[in-house]
This record gives sequence, C-alpha cells and structure tokens, in this order.
Amino acid sequence: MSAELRRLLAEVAERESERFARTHPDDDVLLYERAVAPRRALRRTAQASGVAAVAASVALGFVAADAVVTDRRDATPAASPSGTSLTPTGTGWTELPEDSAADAWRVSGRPLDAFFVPEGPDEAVLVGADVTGDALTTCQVLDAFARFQMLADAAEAPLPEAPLSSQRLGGFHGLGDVGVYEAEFTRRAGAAAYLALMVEAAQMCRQAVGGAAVVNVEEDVAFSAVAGGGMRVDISRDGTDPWRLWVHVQQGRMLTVIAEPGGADEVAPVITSYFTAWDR
Amino acid sequence: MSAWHGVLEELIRQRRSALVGYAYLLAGDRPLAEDLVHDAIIRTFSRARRLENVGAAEGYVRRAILTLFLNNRRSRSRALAKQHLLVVPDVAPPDDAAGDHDVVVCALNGLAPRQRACVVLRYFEDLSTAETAERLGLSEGSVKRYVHDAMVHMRGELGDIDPGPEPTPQSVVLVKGGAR
Repeated sequence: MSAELRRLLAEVAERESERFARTHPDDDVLLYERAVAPRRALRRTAQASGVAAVAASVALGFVAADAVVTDRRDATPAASPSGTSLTPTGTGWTELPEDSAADAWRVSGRPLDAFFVPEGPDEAVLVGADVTGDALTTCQVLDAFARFQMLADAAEAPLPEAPLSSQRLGGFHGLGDVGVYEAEFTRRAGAAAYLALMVEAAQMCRQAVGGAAVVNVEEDVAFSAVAGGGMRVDISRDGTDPWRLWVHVQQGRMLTVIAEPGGADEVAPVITSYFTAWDR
Repeated sequence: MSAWHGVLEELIRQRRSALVGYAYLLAGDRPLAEDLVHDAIIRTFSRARRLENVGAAEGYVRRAILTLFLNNRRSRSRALAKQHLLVVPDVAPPDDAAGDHDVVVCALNGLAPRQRACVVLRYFEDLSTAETAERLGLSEGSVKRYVHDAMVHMRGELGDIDPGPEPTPQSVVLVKGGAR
C-alpha cells in the first residue's frame, strides 16, 4: 500500500532527523549568519551596480583613454619611493621564502611577509565605532572584494567578470600592517568593471555607515609615474588614522592594498614599487 | 536587525534536523545530506528575496535541496569553503535504529536520482503527480514513468509495497523551468 511506503519513508526521515539533532547539539546560527550576510550584501551591491559596471569603460577615464594606457613594460619608469626596493625573482612573490630578506620585495625597508593577512575595516575601525548589523556587513563586502574572496558566489551574482586568477601576495609589518593582493583579468574591461563594482561597494558602505564613521571614497586616483588608475577608500572613526584600501588597475592587472590604521602612508609606495620595479 | 536573521535562526533551531531527514531520503548518504542542507540554507538566505516566515523559507530550502541534489553541484571548493561551519563528530554515532530502515534506504539507493526524487516527492512530500512534475520540470507522463520504474525496483527490494494505482509508463519528456 502507498500508505506503507509513506510510513517507511517518514520513519527513515524521522530517524535521520533525530540522529542529526543528537549529534549536532549546537545550532550554528551565528556561523550561518556570518556565511549568509556577506553574500546577501554582495548580491545587493552587484545588483545595484549592474548599470555602473556596464558603463565602467566610459566612466573611468584611464580605461577609456586607450592611448594613454600603455603596457606595464612601456610605462615610464619612476624612481622607487624612498626606502623602497624590489627584486624580481621571476617565480612569483608567493613563492618567496618568508625570511629571504636578501631577495624579498621591500617597502620602507620592510620585507614582504608572504603569509600575512591584515584586518578588514570591521575589526580595524568599525566595531570600535559602534557600527553593527547590516552596515557592518555592507562594509565587509568591500573588504571581501579587495581580497578577491567569494568568487564562487560571483557566478550566481550579476558580477561583470571574475578575475582570471588572483592571489594574496602577503603583507608588510609596520606601525599599521599592510596587505597586498593581485588579480589578473582576461580583459582590461573586466578589471575596470570589477573596479566599478568596488567603487559601488565603497559608496554603499559610506551610506550604510552614516555618521557613525567617516568613509571617504576617491575615484579616478592615479600616479604621475605609473600608468593606470584606480580608487581609494579611507574608513576612520573621526577622519584621522584611517583603514585604507587602494586599488590600482593597469591593463588587466589589478592590485589591491589594504592598510590598517597607522599604515595608510605605506600604501602608495607599495603600489608604485609593484608597478615600476616589478616584472616577470 | 533584518527580518531574515530571525527567520534563519528559527529555521536552524526548529527545522534543520527535519531538513536533514528529507535530504537523507534523497541523497541516501549522511555527509551528502548534511552538505545539501547546509548549501541549500546558505543559498536560500543569500538570495535577496524577502523571507518573512519560517514556513516559506523551509519551502525554498527544500526546493534548493532538491535542485542541488539533482544538479550534483558539489565541488571541492564548495566543500572546503564551508568546512568551518560543520561540526564533524570525532566518532560516528552508533546507528541503533537500523534494520527495516536500512532495507528501505538500500532500496532507495538503487534508484536513479530522478526516480528517487519522484518517489520522495510523491510519497514523502505527498505531492500530486502534477505537482511533482512541476517541481522537477518534467511532464506528468515522465513522472508516472519514473514512479512506475521506481516501484518495480522497490517491490523487488521490499516485497509487497503497493504504491497505489499503477501509473501508466510513458516516454520521458523534460519541461523547461524545473529543478535540474
């Protein structure tokens, strides 16, 4: 009888349900919230910036002006910032031994720590500024973009293009620690669109935070000696000593640099040294 | 705090175990069932839709479980990405309620995924043939065919199980828009 099959199936499901409840006494609600919240914000951000992403190649001058953007090797070399030296190895920076002081990429005398991960704006600034809930989550998305995280979710969100490859290069220990991430996009337009998405995420963070913290977003930021351009976001409690995110795009290559409070001044030297002295 | 937080909390605390039971009927494998529930919950709540009550949320999660099961979309990266969420017991608990249930599970495990989904939807979820067809994106004739073939197998494994009126076997036709 069908009633018998229904009963058997119900009993199997009930037994498995009870077993699971017995072996999983913790509800894990907080862990699920942490997994869900950034993804919801990611989707909101991506949906809100859908038009902006499409228009990115027009809105961002350094991308539209193809004649100005040259290949990294053709960019006018600039003297490395004071105290900055970079020794290419041809093997990729993440393969550098942590203590290979002689060969390491150095900024302001400090070598790259290949395994270092800096704090996001939430831990570094916003929690201390009593920013919580959705506002905090919205700003965490900006940080996730900068680290090229949640790319698996990008496939389900209307993101313009995920990076072809991305990696955490490492960081520099200092008064305020600095983390460095790079990504390679198939096309320059892909990098520009991803940058536009980050600008949108930064604006959403600024709006979400309101007056609880100071969020300054600067678009079309460029260096005189380095081809390309990008954006910079400063998040602080009172306008001083910010958590800083600086994104620089050159062709299809994107570099994101995150500085905890105290390290903001080190960001520009990191970017210029990467794009002027670095070569494979 | 947004409404979805409360709905998520209620769903996790009150319905997650039942969802694992449902997923187990489909998957026939405990780790996979737990993975399906985990992925389905995150997938459902990550979407921007409004989730205002646990009943509606559970419906979405069940649909997501079914879709994930049929798509078999688990990848290594997904599994690694959620490891921090799962509490894996050091020692597998004794399966003290084995016996007839294991026979049922073995019989289900002999079915193809779509056959199994049809059986679960028809005889556990109590959906009609039309509702099952809509849920799976199949024609009603296809559902009847899957159920017929599944019950032939189940009878062979379980003996005198009678699923009710014998469905008429028909050719399988996919319908656009269902869970695949």
